[in-house]
Amino acid sequence: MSQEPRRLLEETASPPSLQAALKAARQEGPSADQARAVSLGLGGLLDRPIDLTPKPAAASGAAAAKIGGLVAVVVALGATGAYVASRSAPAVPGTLGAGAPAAAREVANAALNRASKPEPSAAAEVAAEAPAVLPAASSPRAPTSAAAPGASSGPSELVLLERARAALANEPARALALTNEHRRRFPHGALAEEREVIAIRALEKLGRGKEAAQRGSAFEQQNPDSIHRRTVTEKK
Amino acid sequence: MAVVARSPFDLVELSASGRGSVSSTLRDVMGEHLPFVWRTLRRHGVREPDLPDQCQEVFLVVHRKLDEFRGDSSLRTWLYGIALRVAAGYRRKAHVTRESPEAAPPDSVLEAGQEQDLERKRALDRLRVLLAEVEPARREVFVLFELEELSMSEVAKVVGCPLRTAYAWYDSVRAHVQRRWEATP
Repeated sequence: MSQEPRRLLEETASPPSLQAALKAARQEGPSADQARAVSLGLGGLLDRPIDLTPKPAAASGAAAAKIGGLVAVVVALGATGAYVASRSAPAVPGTLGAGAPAAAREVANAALNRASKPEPSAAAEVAAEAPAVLPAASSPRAPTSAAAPGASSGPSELVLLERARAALANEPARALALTNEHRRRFPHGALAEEREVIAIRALEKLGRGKEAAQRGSAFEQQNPDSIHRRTVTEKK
Repeated sequence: MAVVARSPFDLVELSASGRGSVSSTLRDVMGEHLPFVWRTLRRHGVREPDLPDQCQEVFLVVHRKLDEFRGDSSLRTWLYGIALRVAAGYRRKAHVTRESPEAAPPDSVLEAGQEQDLERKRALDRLRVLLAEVEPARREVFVLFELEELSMSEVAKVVGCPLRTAYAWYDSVRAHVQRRWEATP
């Protein structure tokens, strides 16, 4: 299993229209004006030298190891439905992705270069106020403080909730059991809200409407600003 | 002696080679990776009007967390992790729930004669619809491998699944896309 599969875009047998769509998807990105807007807030930080020399593991091992687990988790359910709903960046020729030719990347770079630069002090203020990286979610490789003791064994948050979500349609009891396992192992996991949404739906499907309503109310109280609040409310 | 990278591609190569220190600027990193960060944030629920701010957030975190970049993952996968954290934080914020989707500005209006742009947009929308039919984790594997061109081992690492699973998920989504694309001209 060491050989990479051939990408669809590289398959000459793929329909030209599909290839065009894949190519366009690879090239999506901010317009020149949007790139400029991004750079404005970074001000003096943009041209300050940075050191990307690999650091010793002792200095940063935990953070680096977290990446895999974290990434997995956020993928799961929070952004479900956002894929189609998300809007395309304006179709401006030349706003190409990282895989784009160097000439195309120069457009984005040029936009950055054109950006005016706020006072360095303002930029430093923004940087100082920037929230720290959110706690990484747990995975077998990357247990974190969000995980309960013993959470480092068994499936990751992503896998657990993906299984729960997949089971929801036809096996709501199993979905509920999986969310219970998630709650036990990752009581403060990064996908705790998504877990609750699945659990509430599972209870509804099992005909346990009263419990679903109670859990929904608790969810609203505990997560008044959650993006899932409307979903939970509608289900009640 | 410090080695100055001319591009972030050089950064990764130089990092991997262990040759001295690697210096660059945030502008270089942004110039190379902003579209990738942009797409990642949007795919994970950041709305169009908020993308510039959230992209800024990502690169501010990059600047603050440079000490944690070990070079054992590529710069892109490191950025990806940061982008997902930022997107998760964004989705938890109150204003996201209060703003209606209609608050987002409409897509850019295509002027007459921009047939090519219109076709491109239609093709993208069609692809999005097909991918939206897929389970999120599988879709992410497909997007990261097919569209973002990460290696499959990188994909498996960031998605947190076994490599074999990543292969299987990619194959299943790929087959789905091919089948549905041909079935719905």
